[in-house]
This record gives sequence, C-alpha cells and structure tokens, in this order.
Amino acid sequence: MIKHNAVTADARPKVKARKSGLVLVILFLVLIVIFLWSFTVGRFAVPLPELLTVFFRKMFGLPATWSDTTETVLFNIRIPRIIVALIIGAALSASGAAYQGLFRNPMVSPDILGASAGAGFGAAMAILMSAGAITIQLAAFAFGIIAVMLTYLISRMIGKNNNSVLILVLTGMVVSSLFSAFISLAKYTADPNNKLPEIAYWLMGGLTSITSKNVMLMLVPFVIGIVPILLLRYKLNALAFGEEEAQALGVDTKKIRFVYIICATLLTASSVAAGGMIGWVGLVIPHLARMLVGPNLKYMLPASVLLGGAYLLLIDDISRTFFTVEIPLSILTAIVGAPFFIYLLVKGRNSWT
Amino acid sequence: MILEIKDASFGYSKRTVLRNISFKVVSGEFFCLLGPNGVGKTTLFKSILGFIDVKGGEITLDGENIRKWSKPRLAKAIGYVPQAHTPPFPYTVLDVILMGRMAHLGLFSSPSRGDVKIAEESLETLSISYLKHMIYTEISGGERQMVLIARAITQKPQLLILDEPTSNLDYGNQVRVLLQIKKLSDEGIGVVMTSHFPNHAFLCSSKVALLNKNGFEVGTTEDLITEANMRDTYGINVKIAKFVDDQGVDIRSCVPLAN
Amino acid sequence: MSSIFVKRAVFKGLAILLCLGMTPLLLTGCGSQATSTTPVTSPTTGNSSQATTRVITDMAGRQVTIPTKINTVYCAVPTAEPMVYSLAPEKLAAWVNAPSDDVKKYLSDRAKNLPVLGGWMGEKSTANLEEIAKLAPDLIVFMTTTGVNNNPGQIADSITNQTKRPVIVMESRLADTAKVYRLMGDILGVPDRAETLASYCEKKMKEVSDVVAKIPQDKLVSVYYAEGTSGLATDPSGSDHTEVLDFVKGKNVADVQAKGGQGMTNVSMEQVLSWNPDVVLVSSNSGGVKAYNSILNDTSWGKVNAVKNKKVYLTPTLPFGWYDRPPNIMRVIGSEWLGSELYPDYVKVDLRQETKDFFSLFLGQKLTDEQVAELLKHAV
Repeated sequence: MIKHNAVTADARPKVKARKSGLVLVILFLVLIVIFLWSFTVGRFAVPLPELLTVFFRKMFGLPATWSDTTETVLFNIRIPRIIVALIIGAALSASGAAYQGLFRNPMVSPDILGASAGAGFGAAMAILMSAGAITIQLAAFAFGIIAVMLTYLISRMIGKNNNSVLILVLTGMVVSSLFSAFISLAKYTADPNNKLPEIAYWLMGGLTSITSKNVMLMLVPFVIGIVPILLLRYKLNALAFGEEEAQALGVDTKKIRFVYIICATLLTASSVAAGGMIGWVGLVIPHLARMLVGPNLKYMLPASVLLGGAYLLLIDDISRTFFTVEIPLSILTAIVGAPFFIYLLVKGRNSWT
Repeated sequence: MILEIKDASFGYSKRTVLRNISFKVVSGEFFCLLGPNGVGKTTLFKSILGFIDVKGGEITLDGENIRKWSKPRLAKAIGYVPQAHTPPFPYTVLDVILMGRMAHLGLFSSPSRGDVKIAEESLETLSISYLKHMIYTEISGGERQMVLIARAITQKPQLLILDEPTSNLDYGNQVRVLLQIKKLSDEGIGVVMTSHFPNHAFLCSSKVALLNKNGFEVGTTEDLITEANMRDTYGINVKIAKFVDDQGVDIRSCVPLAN
Repeated sequence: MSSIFVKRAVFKGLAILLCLGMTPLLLTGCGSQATSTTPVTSPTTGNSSQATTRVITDMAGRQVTIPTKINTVYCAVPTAEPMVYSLAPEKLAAWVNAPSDDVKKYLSDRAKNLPVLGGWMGEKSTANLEEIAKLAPDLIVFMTTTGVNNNPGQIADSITNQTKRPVIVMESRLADTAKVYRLMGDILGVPDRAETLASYCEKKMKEVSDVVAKIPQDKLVSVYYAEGTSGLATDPSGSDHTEVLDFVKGKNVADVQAKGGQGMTNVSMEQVLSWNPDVVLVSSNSGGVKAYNSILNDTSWGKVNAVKNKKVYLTPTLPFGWYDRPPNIMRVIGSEWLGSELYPDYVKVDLRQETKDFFSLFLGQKLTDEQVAELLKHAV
C-alpha cells in the first residue's frame, strides 16, 4: 500500500522475530550457574569436594563432617554476601530500567532523583556519630527516601500541574548536588584518623561487613519495590511515546509515574544503604538487556533483573577473592562498566536514536 | 457513537484560544477540520482527548461528559493518531501496534495471542504487513505514520482522531492513506481529521469545519469551501474547479491562483 | 618542509620558557633555607653581646634558626606532644586536639587547660593559623617518619611559611626515641631531664628486644591488628602503625600492601578466618571498645583462634596511645605491655609496676592500683 523507492525496498534487511523468551531462560540459567560458582570462591579455601559434601549432608539433615569455621564461612559470611550482591544488582538494574522508561531517556541512572546522594549523606552522618552497622544502613535508607521526597515535592511546587518530567529531572540534579555537598561537609569535619577513611570507604561501596541482619533489612524494601515494577512493566512501554500519547492509549500516566518513582526509590535507597554507592550498574545493564531482548519492557525488565543480579554477584566474587584487600565495588564496576558502555554505544543498534 | 462539542471554549490557564465552538461527529462521518497555522486546531484536539480541561461549555461522548470517562474507557472509544515522531527506544512495529491494546488489558497483563491477531489484522487492513518485524525507528516517516494509524485502529475504537496524518507522505501516499481512512469511515468508524489542504476535504469528507478569524463554521464541503472562505481563512486567491469524472460523479478541486 | 622549521622554533621557544620558569623556582627553593653555612650550633651575634639565636640541623637534615632560649613550644602534630610534654611540660603551649575527659585524668592541671589550636593532621590541616600567630610559639615541632617516601621537609617548610615561626622535624620511629629525647633536650635547654628519659627508654627497650630475639621461630605468635568499627581494617608489618608489634617480634598476619598516611587497608571476614591469628589487637583509637565488644560477641569472629582463646586485647591508650594513633613515645611502655602479653614466658616484667614507674617518671603522675587497672582494662 505505501509505496517506496523500488531500489531501497529490497536493500532493507529482513528482520526476524526475536526469541526474547528463550533469551530470558538462558539468562536465568546463567544466573544459577554464577550463583553456584560463587559458593566455591573466597579467601577461605573450601575445596569443591568439601563444598558438595556440605550441601549434600545439609539437604538431608545429616550431621556435619566439616569444621565449625567452614560452616561459619559458608553460611554466615558467603551466603548473606551472595544474596545481597544478587539483590543489589537486580534492584539497581530494575530501577535503572524503570527510570529510563519513565524519563524516555536511555542515559538515565537510578541516582537521578537524589536517592544515592541522600543515602550517602545519611551514612556519613551515622558514621560521624559512631553508630553501629545496622544504624548506618537504616540512616542511609531513610535519607535516600527523604532526598527523593524532597525532589518530588519541590518539582510539584515548581511545575504545578505540569506533568513534565524535565522539571523532576532538574530538581533531582539539584537535590543530588545539595546532598553531595553535605557529604563533603561531613568528610571535612570528620576526624582524619578514623572517621574520614571510614566514610570514604563506605561511600566507595562494598559488601565486606554484610551479615544475615543486613539481608533481612534489605529484603523488605526489595520485595515491595520490585514487585510492582515487574507487574506494571507492560504499561510503562506506552510512556516511551510521550505523556499525551500514553494517556491516549489509556494509561494513567500520573499514577504509574508515582508508583514507579516510589518503587525505584525503595530499590535504590535500600541498595545504597546496604552496599554503598555502586555506579554503572543501573545505567549499563538496562542497555545490555535492551540489546539482548529488545526494548519491550515485558522482556527487558526481567532481563535487566537477571543480568544485573548475575553481574554484580560476579563482580563481588572477584572483589572478595582475587586480592587480599577488598577492592571497593564502585571501582570495579566503573573499570568494567565504563569501557563496556563505550562498546555498547559503538555497537548498540539505535539504542537511543 | 456521538461526539458532541457544546458551546465550548478551549485554551490554557493564561489564555483562551477558541470560544463558543459547537459541532457533532457521528460514527460513519468523516469530519475534516481546516484552518491556518496557530488557530487552535491542536488545542481543540488536546481538549477532546482530555489532555487539557475545557474552559467553558462541555464535550460529551454518547451524552456523557468526557470528564467522567476514565482513561482506559476513553481509549477504547477514541483512537488518537498524532504526527509521527521518534521515540527513544527501538521498538518493533508489531510492538508499537500492540500498544494499542493497552486499554483492553488488565493492569498487570501483556498482550495475548488474541491481541496479537488483532494487531496483525490492522497491519493487513492497511497493507503494511511487511513492516511487522521491522524496527519502528528505522522505517520512513510515511511508514511510521501508517503504523500509528494501525495502532489506533487496533484500539478498536469507534472514533478516530488524526492530527495531520499526511504530513510526511508524498503525493501518491497521501492519497492512498486518505482513501484508506475513508474506507474505515465507511465501515462505521467516525473520523475527525485536521488538514492543511482543502483538497483532502474534497477527497474524503462529508463534513467540514473552518476555523479562522471569523470564527468557527461547520458545513458540507460544497457549502464551506468557497473562494471567499479560502481567502478569509488562508489569505490567498483560489478557484474552485468543478468537473465530472468518467463515472459521472461530481468532482471538486481547489486550485491556487498565481495572481 | 617549512613545518619542520616551525616545529623546531616552537620547541626552542618552549625550552626557553621552561628554563625561564624554572629559574625563579630554583631561586625560591634556595631562599627558604637558612642562608648561614656555619656548623651545627653556632651562635649568631645580634645587637647585644648575648647570642639570641642559633642554627641547628633537624632530623630531616634541615638547617633551622631557632632561639637559644625556648619558652613556648607548639606541636604541629599530635605525635610530638607526648614527647614534649614528658620532657618539658611547662614549655608546652597548646594541644592539637582537645583532650577528652578520660585523657585529662592523667594530665597536670596546667596541661588540662591549654588552648586547642588544631594541627597538621594527615590529609587535612585543622590548624587555626590566627591563633598560632597570636600564641607566637618560640618553636614548632613536626614529628613524623623521615623515611624514603615521605617529604617531611616540604611539609615543615610550608608550616614555616604559613606561621612564620621556626619549625623543626623530629623522627617518630620507635628505634630513635632516645636519640630524639637527647636532641630535644639540647634544643629546649633541659639536657639532664632528657638524659634521664633517654636512658630509661634505651634500657627498657633493650631489655625487651634482647629477650624476644631469643624466641625460637616456632614459638612466635601470629597477631592481627584490628582497626575500623568492625575490625576489618588493618596495617601490615613495616607500617609505622605496627612498629610495636614488629619490635616485640609478633608475627603480623596481614600480608597486604601498606597504605600510606592513615593506613587502614580493608580486608574481608573470610580473609581473617583464613589467617586465623592467635592474638587480636583491637585499636582503641579506631574501633575502640565498640569494636572490641563486637569482635568478642560476633559468631564469625568467634571462629578465630584468638577469640576462642580469649586472646583479644584492646590497645591501652591513656593518656596517649601506647600502640599507635599517634605513634609516640608511650610505645616504650607499650612495648613492655605487648611483649608481656604475647610472650609471658619470655618477657617477664611486672607490668603494673612498670606502668607506675613510667607514669611517675615521664608524666609526673602517681598512679593508684585502681588507676593502673583502669589503664590496662581489656588489655591484659
């Protein structure tokens, strides 16, 4: 019906339907493999035969034949850390994917509304006040939420009834900068013998001191945050075409935006609270997911979650195994993520045009 | 389905763009809105679709004020075809068209096989099935326009609202698209369309509205598209040519004059 | 072809500019040194017949002009404070950090009320320059390791520039403790006191080092130095934070790269379990009692040998750190303490008596038995 130049018609590539469902299954399997492999690595050597014995006997409730220390290492140290790495990776990726869809911009990362900077500030304050690890996590989480609430309220005041996301983004930038300045202030007043290196180290991200208590604290906001994001993901597709078209397609954009911002904030704040400021995950993983399964959030969101979890787990395994010292996660994710991102930009097929 | 605008005023918080507009569009009608740039055609559309509130008077759909219609319900009744633009992500054409089914889906659902079938039918109807698996951001402007029309009819609406649907198309494709829309209208869908070309109205519409500085007038193409009106609306001189085609049907055309 | 000539001209121009730029730098570099070339302590005649200043060579090899009579001393870093306070307490004019209430219990009344001026601490300077100018100390002491990688001379020079007071560099290494006392005794005009303190240090340190040198390899104790709130940060052997441990021949389990400055390299719990030290030292000034308690009560830490055998010690820290933070002269009694904890069969000292003697001689404090117990709480 629409006729176009005969020459170009045949020159265009024939595109076959993507097997996105299959890719998702493969990603899930990859995740399982990395998950299992994570148990075999660590500074405390647990040989593979012993590891298998432990799991086998645990499964069938048989008495232990391994040392007390091995038990502690596997179940008190490695398991919580593996679980948290998975959760944070999944949370940041889901949050990034959600924000990229919400703001119609593939260059958006989860800290765009200030959750990261706010959480960092909360943690810095708690460290200055010599609080314990759990208090630091809670303070970071609380301030992450406060920062985003501030962004949201200020943008509502400025924009009145305007649904534009531009104002939200700009306000987020301002709030982020503000909290970053406060973090610098905290660092400046900190005692350079103790508090300052501790704050600096916390900010750089790491799962060194993760215990099962941290896991419990993380689980609640994670589940509350990720479930609505996953359930509503198809509707988010409409927003890619703009506020008005989405409404014309029958999507209540105001409500969806509200729910998504709350959920993504829960995910981001709890992730930063548990693991510090880990960048390059929320930005890069959704791009990778898009390359593998396409931009349709029906597949792309679950793909981001699976990829993100596997990725951060892998990175954390490297961080805690290959060197005697713990290399902060943000350093590793940046070293891996930034060049990889450039590669994606070069290779990426119209991911953003 | 009856869309009725009753003595309505349209505009934004600071200024009113149109006043005292009244007209009616019924399923099966092809209503063409003509008017110069900046007169308020887009504002009118935005108000009908519920993006901005009506300032005075009311808009009703089947007798019920449009404000009482929920967004999903409205989307099932009215299909909107905006001017084609580029979204930030490379969806496939099929994905884009399937989004037309959103209003019919539950809050957590994604399209079923049945929905995919409806989408494929829309592609068939517009003869663009070959576009199915192509990337929306990689096809031509005209093809994108067609996809947006296909998306709108996938909503299975009773009314189609199109904002200058031919702007990216060449002459041949313009005519073909218009005839296709005319066919849809003949099959029972109501159509409201804006255009910059009176000849489009001659080609397909039954009803025409002229929006110009004199106000708002509704009528048939014969009555409204006159040389005087064209001068008032666009500020140019034209001649309305009348002739009979091979089948004996009266044809009219609006021809611009050089002086 | 012409482009090569252009390039040559550009290079020439740059070279000339560079030389021009370097010259002023070189000149100012020379200028900051004292212009006198006379030997170590020679009086410079002023207007009166008495000599008012002299030139000494500090422990960074710098020639510094200082007053012959010094009445007020300000320490630019906390490391020097215990040294000056023990040597000539009435000459100490100010503190870098405000002493806490616990610290004040072991200070003289005069010392409790000295002004607090901030200092040049690690990565940042908290020094209140105006207050220092008001105080106008006769001498400023900057004490640090003058090893290969440091450039204490540069820091001392910048302090001189900022305060316009004479600044001397002293070595903070444990081995040089006696040497520093003697040098400072001469500078401050208290040579007898200095000799007393110096020979005490030499004697006690030699007693410890002679004994531990005899310990056979297989009897050496592995030690982990726990810093940070969770105890998962440490410093390796060779760092100036763990000199006492090296001195008493404890085996530092941390085979990590030493981090300069504040130190504190982070490690994981798994790594500590893998090292499985016999003894854990908890840093009072880093993790403190909180870290000490959490280490004793944590399930993971519970699997470490040291914790199983209750060999977890909090480093004594009053009134100044006995182990580090800052690394100071109290490490003399600190060595006796650590030596007797790690190797009680070899280092046979009556720690409580030694503590009383040390405090009496160095700090002018007569300790009661309760005070000694308080000082050594969680440390023995």
